[in-house]
Formats: sequence, structure tokens, C-alpha cells
Amino acid sequence: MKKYLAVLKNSFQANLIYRFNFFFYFLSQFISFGILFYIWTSIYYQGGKIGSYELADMIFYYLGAIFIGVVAKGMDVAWQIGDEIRMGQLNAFLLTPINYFWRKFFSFFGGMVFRSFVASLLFITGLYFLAEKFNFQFSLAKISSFLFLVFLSYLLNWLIFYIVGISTFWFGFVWALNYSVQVTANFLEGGLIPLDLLPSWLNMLNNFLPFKYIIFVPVSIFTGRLEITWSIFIIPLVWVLFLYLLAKLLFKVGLKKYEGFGG
Amino acid sequence: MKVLAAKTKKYWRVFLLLQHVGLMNRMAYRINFFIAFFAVLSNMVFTIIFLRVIFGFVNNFSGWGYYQALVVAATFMIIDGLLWVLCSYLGSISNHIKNGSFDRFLVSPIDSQFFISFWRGDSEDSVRIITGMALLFYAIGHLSLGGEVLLFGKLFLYLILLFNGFLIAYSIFLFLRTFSFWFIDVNSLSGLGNSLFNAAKYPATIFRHKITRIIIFSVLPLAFLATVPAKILTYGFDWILVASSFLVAGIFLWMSRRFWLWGIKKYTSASG
Repeated sequence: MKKYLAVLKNSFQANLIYRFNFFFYFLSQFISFGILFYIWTSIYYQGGKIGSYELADMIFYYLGAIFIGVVAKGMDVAWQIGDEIRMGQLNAFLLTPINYFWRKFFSFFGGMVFRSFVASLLFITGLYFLAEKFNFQFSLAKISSFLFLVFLSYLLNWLIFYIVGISTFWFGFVWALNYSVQVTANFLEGGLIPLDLLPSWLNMLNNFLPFKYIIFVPVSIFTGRLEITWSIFIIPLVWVLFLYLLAKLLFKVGLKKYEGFGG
Repeated sequence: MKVLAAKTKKYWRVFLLLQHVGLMNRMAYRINFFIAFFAVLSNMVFTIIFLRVIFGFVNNFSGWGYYQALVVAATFMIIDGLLWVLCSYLGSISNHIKNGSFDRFLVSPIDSQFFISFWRGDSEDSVRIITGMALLFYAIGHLSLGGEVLLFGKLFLYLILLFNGFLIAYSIFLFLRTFSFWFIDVNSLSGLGNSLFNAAKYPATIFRHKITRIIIFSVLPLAFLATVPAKILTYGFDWILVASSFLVAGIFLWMSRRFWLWGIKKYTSASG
């Protein structure tokens, strides 16, 4: 465990070194939120509701979505892992007595800790000033459920893109698959629009996929639009377990195809 | 004049060659090419679903009807597609600066800005242009834009303004990327650029506050990317907007060029 903690520490420090990178990333998220704010303000200008959402609900939804986006999604796992396999850099990792999966997991986890720290400070500040406007009711159950679901969201996102990354063993280059999953995930997890506003057939399809547990479910728990039930935790946990086993299996099979060019 | 013609011919040939190499490079990973093709198509479909959901609840989006909003979205898709197909490599400037491989762009007997801008293109993104055009004609079909001659005139002007929009978008991306000469690892700048750029996907009239309206029309003239061409096409001629489009495109192209030339002076070649 000590060696993985060292990986985590290194990753945290690397994020500190490239602070400008993080600053620009954060700024881009802030701008995305600003644009969504203007879009919805303009739509609600005519008055009324969109589905069961009033303007404040919508803004609150996107605030939560951006927070999860920064914490759980602010990294390009597939791109990095895919490149290591494609360029043969995986050879060096395979020769060390450290498990590749856990090494990568803790390496990205360090970045997540760094982003969580900054994002939480801003999120809590925003919440403090806006809670009354959004009619937000603080409750320990709600906050702890939300935090646990954000953690599961991180795991789901990480595992999905880890699998995309190691599919380089078969595809040779995964930029297209990575982009494809990013685009689909962003829509089906509720990053663009709350899922309960989408057509019912799309939601029906989404029920068989893990994406909605990345943004929509955690945010809806936080905003109080979904009730806390066991299934809300069990289903994503089963997905995490399934994806973990799938990742392990694919890596094992993929290694047999790996030729280690360029390493 | 003869020298200029020869130079233009040379640059045109280099451009075609780079596009050809780019296509070959992409086709080397054929499965990826087709996956990307469908991913881009899905992205377009999601944008349309988003607009449909909005117009399922309201019949007016900041002064724009459904089909007019589709014209804005289609215009954005075309400009976005042109940027990806022609100069997607702009995004990797910081990587080249970081590992010193930017040298190759400076030592070649060709303008460095031209070379890096058109070095590689993502040919599969041509689907953005195709989908955008299909969407544009679909939307136009549902709008009454006048007789054939008037429609032809409007479309002609629209295409010119669309080109101006492309130049402005290119200049903004180049401007942002040039910061890499100072900050080295600024990969997040592409994310920042994309976030800003995405604002152009929607009618600029959504920015109701005076200050944001000024920003969107001058400091960061995203309004000229898709909203202005779409407005001229759907609402008719407005000489102030047309003249401003040319002026803004010219100023931004000139400024980004100056900034680029300043930036390359700061390049120190890390390893090469």
C-alpha cells in the first residue's frame, strides 16, 4: 500500500506544479456553467417551467453537475493509458513489481484529490450564498449520500475510460473510441440536460447503462429530487464491480496480444 | 505579382499535400476513422435533441424560432467542422513546445503559422460539415426566405459571413494556443477554447446583460461565428452587421498573427 500512496503523492504534486493547467481547466468549467446559466435564463425569460424544473432548480442542477464534472471527470484516463500501450511505454511498467491497474488508479486518484479540494472550496462557498435562494435543506443523510455517490461516480467514470484505454490492445489507437464514449457519456449522464426531460424511450435505454449514476443520480439526490433508497447505491456498486472484473479480464487477454513496440 | 502567384501556388500545393497525408494517417486506423465518424454524428444528434427538448416547452428561444435556431446550430456545425478538418493540429502546439519538437515548424522553408495550422486535419470530422449543411437546408426548407433570386443572394452573403466566422474562430484558437510559448503545459487551454466556442452554438441574444452582449460582439466576438450569418440569412440584410463581420475578422486575424510572431520569439527549444 505504501508504494501506491507514493504514487498518489507524486500525482498530487504534479498537479500542483502544473497549476496553470488546472486554473485554465477550472476556468473552462466556470465558463461552461456561465453559458448554461445564460441559456436557461433566456429560456425561462418567458416564464413557466421546463418539465418540473423552475429556473433556480435548473441552475442548482448544473452547479452540482459542474462540481461532479470537475471532481470525477477532470482527466483523460483513456488517452494516457492508450498512449502508454501504443508507444510501448507499458513495457517499463510491466517490469516493475507494481500492479499496473492500481498504479494507474492511484496516479489518477492523486489528481482527483487535488481537484476535489479546490472544487469543494468553491462549491461550498457558492452553496453558502445560494442555499436560501435554491431552498436547499441541509441534512446529514443527503450530504453523506451525495459524497458517497460522487465517489462511486469517480470510480465508474475511471473504470469506463480505463477499459477504453486498454482497448488499444485491439484497436491500436483509441482516440476515436475515447471521443465516442465521451460524447455519449456526456449526454447520457445528464451533463447537457437533466435526464428526466429527455424522451421516455431514451431514459428506458439509459436504465440499462451506468451513465446516469455519474451525474444525474448524485445531483438529483443532492437537490432532493430523488429519494434516498438502497437501489441508488447498490446499482452503481454492482456496475463498479462488473467494470472492475471486466477491466481485469480485458487487460489479461490484451497482454497476450501486446507486442511492446517502441518501448 | 508573379512572385505572389508563385507563392500562393506553392502554399496551395503544400496545403493539399498536408491534407492528403492527414487523410492517409487517419485511414491507417480505419476502425477508428469510422467510430469517430459516428461519434461526430451522435454529437450532432444530441445537439438537435437538446434543441427539440427546449422547443418542446417554449416556442421562442431568445427571439429565435425552432428553425431559425437550427440555422444557428447548423452554421456552428459547419464552422466547427471546417476547424477540425483543416486545422485540428493547432491543439497540439503546447505538446510540441513541451518536448522541443516545435523546431521542425521553424526550420522548414515555409511560414510556421501556416505549417502548424494545416499540419494535420481530422478528415472524419467532415461529417460535421455534411450534417451541418443537411440541417441548414432542412431548416431553410421550413422558413420562407423569399423568392429564388433573393434566397440565392442571401445564401451567397451567408457563405461569405460564414467564412468570416471561420477566420474569427481560427484567430481565437490561435491566440489561445500561442500562450503555450509562455506557460508550456496548457493543454487545458483547448478545453477553455472549446467552452468558449460552444457558446457560439446558440443565438447570441441569450446574453441579455449589456456587458456580456458587448463582450460577445467585440472582445470575444463569438456572435459573428454563427449568429450573424444566420441572422442575415433568416432576417435579411443588415449592413452594420455585415461590415462589422469583415472588420472583426480582419482585426482578429491581424492580432493573432502579431501575437504568434511575438510568441515564437519566446520559444527556447526544450530538447528537439
